[in-house]
Amino acid sequence: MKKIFFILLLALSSILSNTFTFYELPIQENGRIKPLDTYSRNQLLRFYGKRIIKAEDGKKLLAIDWMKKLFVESKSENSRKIFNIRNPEVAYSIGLEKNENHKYSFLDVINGFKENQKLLESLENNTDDEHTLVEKQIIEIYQNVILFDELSHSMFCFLPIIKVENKTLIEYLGVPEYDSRVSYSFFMRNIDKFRVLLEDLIETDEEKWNESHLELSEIALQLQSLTQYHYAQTLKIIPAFEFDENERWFSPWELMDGRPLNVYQVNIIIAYENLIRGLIDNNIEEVNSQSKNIISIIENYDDSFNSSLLTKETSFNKMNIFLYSLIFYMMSFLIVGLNWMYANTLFRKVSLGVISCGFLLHGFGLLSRMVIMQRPPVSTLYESILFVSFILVLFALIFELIRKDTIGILIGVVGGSLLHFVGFKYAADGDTLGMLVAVLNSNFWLATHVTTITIGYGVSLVAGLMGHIYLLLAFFKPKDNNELNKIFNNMYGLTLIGLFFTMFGTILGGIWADQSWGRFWGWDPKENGALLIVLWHLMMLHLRISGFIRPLGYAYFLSLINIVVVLAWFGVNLLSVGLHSYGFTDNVASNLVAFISIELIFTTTMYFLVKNRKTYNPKS
Amino acid sequence: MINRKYIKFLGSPKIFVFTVIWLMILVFVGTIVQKNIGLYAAQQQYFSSWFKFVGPFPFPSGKLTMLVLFLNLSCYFFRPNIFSKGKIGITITHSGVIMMLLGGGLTSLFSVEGNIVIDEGSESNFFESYYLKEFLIVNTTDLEEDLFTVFDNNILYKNNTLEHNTIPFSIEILDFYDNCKPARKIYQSEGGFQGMAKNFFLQELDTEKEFEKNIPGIIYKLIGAGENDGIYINYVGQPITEKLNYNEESYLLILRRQRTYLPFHLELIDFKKILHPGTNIAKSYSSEINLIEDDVARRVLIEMNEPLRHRGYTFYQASFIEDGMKETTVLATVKNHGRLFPYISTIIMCVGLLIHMLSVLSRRIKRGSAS
Repeated sequence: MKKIFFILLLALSSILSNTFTFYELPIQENGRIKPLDTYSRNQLLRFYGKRIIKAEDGKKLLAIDWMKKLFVESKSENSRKIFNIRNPEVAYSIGLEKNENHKYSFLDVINGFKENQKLLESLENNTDDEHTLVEKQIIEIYQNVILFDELSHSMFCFLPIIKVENKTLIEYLGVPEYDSRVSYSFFMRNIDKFRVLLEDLIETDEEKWNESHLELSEIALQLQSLTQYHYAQTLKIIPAFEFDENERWFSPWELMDGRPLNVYQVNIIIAYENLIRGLIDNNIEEVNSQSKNIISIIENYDDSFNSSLLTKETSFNKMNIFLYSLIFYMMSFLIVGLNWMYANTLFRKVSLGVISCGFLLHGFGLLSRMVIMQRPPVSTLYESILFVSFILVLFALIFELIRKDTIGILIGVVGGSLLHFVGFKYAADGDTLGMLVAVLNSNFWLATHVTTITIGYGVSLVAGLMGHIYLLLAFFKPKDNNELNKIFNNMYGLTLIGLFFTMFGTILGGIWADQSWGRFWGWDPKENGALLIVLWHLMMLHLRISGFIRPLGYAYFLSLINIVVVLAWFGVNLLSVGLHSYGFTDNVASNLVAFISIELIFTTTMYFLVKNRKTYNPKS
Repeated sequence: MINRKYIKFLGSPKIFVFTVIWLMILVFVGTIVQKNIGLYAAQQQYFSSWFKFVGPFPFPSGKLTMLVLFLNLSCYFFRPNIFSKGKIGITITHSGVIMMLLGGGLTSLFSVEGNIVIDEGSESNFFESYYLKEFLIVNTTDLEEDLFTVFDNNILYKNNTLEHNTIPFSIEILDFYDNCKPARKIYQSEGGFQGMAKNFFLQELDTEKEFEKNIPGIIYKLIGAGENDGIYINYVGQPITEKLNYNEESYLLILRRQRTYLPFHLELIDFKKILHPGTNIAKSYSSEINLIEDDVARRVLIEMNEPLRHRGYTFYQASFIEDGMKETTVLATVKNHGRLFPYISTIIMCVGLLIHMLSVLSRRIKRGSAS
């Protein structure tokens, strides 16, 4: 228990503290201002397939540290094995040699592409749905390589690589005395002074050039050659400073085309120059203080810019909360196992404590995401997984508190852990904190409809797991009628609660549809999926009163609701993406089929095993 | 007494169980097939019709299944003791469901939907159906007034003959296509073809998955119009309107999406689209509209999730068209008499289920304390 408080305290303290570092540097990507830390993780995930680099010598390299290196040591980064190409067919077709860990460097891949120009050209001529899986992956790698190249040059204009030695020039341009090297951006923000010098240079006859003229001409040539990186505009780190939160931010290179800069932009550029210098000198203090400086410049100007969210997001990234909640759930499972072996109530209490810790962390993670995104808990598939598992554990805990016999804990840890794993799979697809399309941009409906329906999913899963428990118990302890009846009653109650939430979730969805596009019901796949769960619950209730089935049958059919929920939840998305478009990178479909078959085989076998037991004879 | 027996049979939960299982099968299959046949066709075949034919065998489709559910539910109210303490929650819930089904029935019978397309700066007073077509003959002889004769969607089918006392000729429909495209004839055909049909013919195409994208077409024979007699073709969006003069009167022949006229005008002042910065994902769309009624204009803003409701019509921001500098808004328009039913029935069902759950709970607790 102490440990959990310690972790929570740590989490809290890092959220309350307001020291900005390099991690928090704001950057605009996909319509949102996010800390550089998140940005780096997302980019690394795209290239490397993971959010952290495991170097060949076994050392780990954080995404943000990799990004640092990319900014200032891009040459050596070009040969880091960063591109993950898992499909050997793809690697072969772009001329890469097989290697065991499927990792290739930028230079490997770009040389491969250079030798296969024709392949690329032919791919570009076709439309997207004409491409085979291999072709799609080749295109994706090509795009990644381009992006990597842009990324590694995007800070080039801040690199102090132009030497100014002539005293006249130093004085006139105001080059800082402690360092005679300046960056491309230095000249661009002093463009008016520089222009005068250039004009003088052009007017003066080449034979009459003095030292400063000679140096100036050399500088001009260097600047000229640096303009080749003008395309590297992917990093949007400088606000437009035009009083509009929907304004697009600029990348450094975009501002380097000689356009007039406002004073805020100039200040940010200066700060970035110093920051990059700090990175080169490995002067962390300078880097962090410049980051702080940049954030405060933006903050003083723009009221809608919320710097504390940046800190919250980086600490959320660091903590990896959902990994810990999963660990707690699994620990709790082990302790429950001990409880069954030794029948000691102490173990039950401990495991209840452990699962509660996991639950608190889980909730804390959800809450952090809500705060960071400023929206209700569920708006994407990934978030729905997190939330459904939260609800599942919540109801399981309530059951445990009422029943006090570890069945609640069992349901909670099994359901919670499984959904955590599914969630990790989805998180590996990319940024989990994305923006929403216009129709979803309504906090009211997200909060009511989506939350209700996902609570419904959660409760239905608990009900389904309760059905499993009944089947297992009826098999192992067929004579324990008292216990079996209790579980049967619980199953009935859960059906009612599940019906309540899924039905109102579905109807609220209909009302939202009526409000948004004018029809209550359109038989669209997502709606139908939700309707199927509702109908299944209705069938369960009426199966019971019609006397068609006895408790065992009820448990069997209720167990199957897991399949219905999973189909409505994930299967439906598969349908709209296209049943034929999955390859081995996207194994949702095969996982779904595996889950359904395992469930069907397990429940059906249990049903017949129990049915044929003579000792099983419940009085209902 | 016999009546009671029938009601008991019809209202038995067993029938409900079978019907609900059948409905689940319908919903499941109707969802899967959308992948191949599209949403509209799936709706028509599995949900909005009475029967679904698989080969020659008719199976009950959505409408019939819902009707059975409705009858089954209605019989619940003839049972004894439904207002007792233990059952009142269930009764309330069932009445909510009944209302829901009624609302669904009303909607499927009486609602009209379509969209209204307005360019920036111009106005409109009608909306066009997504699916239904109409064939019209306009008498333009009078310079002051045009006389419209409109044939509705449900009589536009192959081998039907259209006649009306406002037109001196009759129209025999030779073929009607849900989707087609005009194609140039390679040979000049033998006589009998008129207008565009002289050089073009309609090639029937498979229907699109998104039904709105279809281009419907009609081939018909004009009879009793003197030298204008012959075979004509029309399709939706035809660039040149078919014209003819007969008996010193002039007529236009048009096939178009079914129009519903509004008792007011809408004028688009400005259409706005805001993107999430640096992306192509739309953050919001909105149309600034002048609602003109009896020459009095009122400004309204229609946004995503914020429709305009006026005189029973509802206008939603559905889509937009950008063509160079010109912006055009597309507003989905619905008139639905059943639209309040879900709202009311939700509340009723909610209350009913809550009462039932509480009564189950209190019984449990009582039993628990007794034992």
